[in-house]
Amino acid sequence: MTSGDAPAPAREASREELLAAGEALRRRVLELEQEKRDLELMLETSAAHADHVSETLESERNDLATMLEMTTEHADTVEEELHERATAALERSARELRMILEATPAPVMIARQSDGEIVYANVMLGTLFRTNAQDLVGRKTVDLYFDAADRQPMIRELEAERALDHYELRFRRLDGSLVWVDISLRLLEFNDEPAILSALHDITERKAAEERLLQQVEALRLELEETSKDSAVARSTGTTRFENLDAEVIHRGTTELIAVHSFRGGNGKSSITASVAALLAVAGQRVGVIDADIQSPGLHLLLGRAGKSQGRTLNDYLLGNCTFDQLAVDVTDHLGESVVGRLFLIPASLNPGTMAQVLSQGYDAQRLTRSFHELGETLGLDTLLIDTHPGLNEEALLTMRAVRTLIVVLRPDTQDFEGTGVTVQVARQLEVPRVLLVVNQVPSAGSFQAVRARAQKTFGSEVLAVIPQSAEFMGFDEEVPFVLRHPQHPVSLALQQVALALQRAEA
Amino acid sequence: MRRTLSHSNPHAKTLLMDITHQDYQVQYDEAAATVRCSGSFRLHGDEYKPVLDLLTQAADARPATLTLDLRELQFLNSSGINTLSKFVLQVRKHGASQVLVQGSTRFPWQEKSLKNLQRLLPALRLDIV
Repeated sequence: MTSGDAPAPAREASREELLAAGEALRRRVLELEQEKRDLELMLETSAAHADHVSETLESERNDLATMLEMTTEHADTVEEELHERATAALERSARELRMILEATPAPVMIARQSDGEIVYANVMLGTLFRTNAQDLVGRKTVDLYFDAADRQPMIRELEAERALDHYELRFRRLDGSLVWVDISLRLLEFNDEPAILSALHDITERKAAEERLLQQVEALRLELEETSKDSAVARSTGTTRFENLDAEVIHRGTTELIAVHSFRGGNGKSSITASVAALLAVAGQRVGVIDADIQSPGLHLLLGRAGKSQGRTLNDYLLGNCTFDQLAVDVTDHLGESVVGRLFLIPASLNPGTMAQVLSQGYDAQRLTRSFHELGETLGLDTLLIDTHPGLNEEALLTMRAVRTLIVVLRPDTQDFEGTGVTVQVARQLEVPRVLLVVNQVPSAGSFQAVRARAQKTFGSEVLAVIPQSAEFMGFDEEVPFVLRHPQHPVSLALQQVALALQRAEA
Repeated sequence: MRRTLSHSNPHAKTLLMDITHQDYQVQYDEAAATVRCSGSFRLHGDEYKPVLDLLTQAADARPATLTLDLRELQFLNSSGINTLSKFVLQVRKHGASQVLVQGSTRFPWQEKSLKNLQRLLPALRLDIV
């Protein structure tokens, strides 16, 4: 083996390798440096982005917070304004209510519902109670009642209906005197408390007049009872207070006696009487109708006798010149053809001399009422309608005592309601078996149902019909009666109800 | 009244110009770049969408000055003020228009609440007389 020939190439290779390795390392370092720079850049970018996002979020959060604050502040502002306005409106309406009540020409008060303490009284209330209005404020209503027991039933009715109209009540003034009022009540809120508003109408005078009238009626009734005891015709031996000749007449015959009355003239009483008579005749009845309104006769006009010669009249009978059955005029032809029943008219005289004679000489009113039944018998009548003179006079009272049925005609106004109240009361005292009502000339604008309910409630009597206002009906003077000529007219329909109700009652 | 812009857009975008209601009215006068609100706004939530749409259209037109005339605006509830603030934010985002809000001292709430719009857009001009 020769020495020193092998190591030289090995050293050479190793150096190249080292160079290559060195180069690789250098590249790696560069790469790493690049990567590091990239990473640094990315980090920077991300941080910048995060900062930006965070800023935006912050800004949006601030906007939202601002909006929330704005909205809340706005809500507070508006709420405050609305509250002020509502308070002002309440105060204004309270002021206005007081102004209205002060200017109202009727006595008005407001009382707390809980304890009845008067919290408001207008000047008129003071006048009614003959004191200063302020003197009434703070008092309890119950201390002003004539009878404290009257309060409960009235308040019960008010609470059930929320409103109460035309309730008649007695108060006692501070000086102790009695005052009758027609009172209307409403529930309302006053000063944030449940309260009762009352409007009053002084009816003390009317009540006194009614009382006087009832006393007169009672006196008349006693007088009649006395005279009828002496009368040859008074054969009754029963035990009721009213056994006398008229009671005898009522229960003896088969003719239904119906009086048609009204407190005031001109409310359509005669027109209604003639129409109902015509309807009953058309329905097949034998009907008589007496014009007992001696002072202002008019029934003949309605039954086709205008301008015709009168012959004998009720006046002749009352003066003793003829018998009752000689008076009747058959007016059936006036109703048109094919009428099964008959209609007889007993007219009052239009002769001024005869009228005056009867009115000045006076006549035996009892003779008149006694004859109703005779007439019914003679003519074989199913129904005899008596058209009375308006108002509460002796004939009217005697007629009421002779009939089984009284129809009171009224208009829906205060005067008629008051007068009818008295009439109905008198009829009850005279023990008329049936008192019925017909409300006439009701304005079509109002509620017929309400008018019917009010009349029924006020008088406690059945309302047969509510007849609408109609110039045609009130003014009719046609050959054939209106009710037959215009059977579908609302007025005719209402009158048909009256006729039907009477037929049913008789049946 | 509705006007249809169809000449450049085949999808016939409908542009609402006026909102008329018994209680409140919104009118957009495009030429004057003015939106007038009057009456009493008592709507709830979504019911304000047509109003906001109309305001957005006015903002999108990017006029130099956009006027919001509220001088006859008697009442605006909370949802209403919220709608106005959304509109202001939209204008701020565009950054293209100056906003002028006109109000009246006859309606005391305006002075307090409209001033707050400047918190969202400090450059907003307020003219309450």
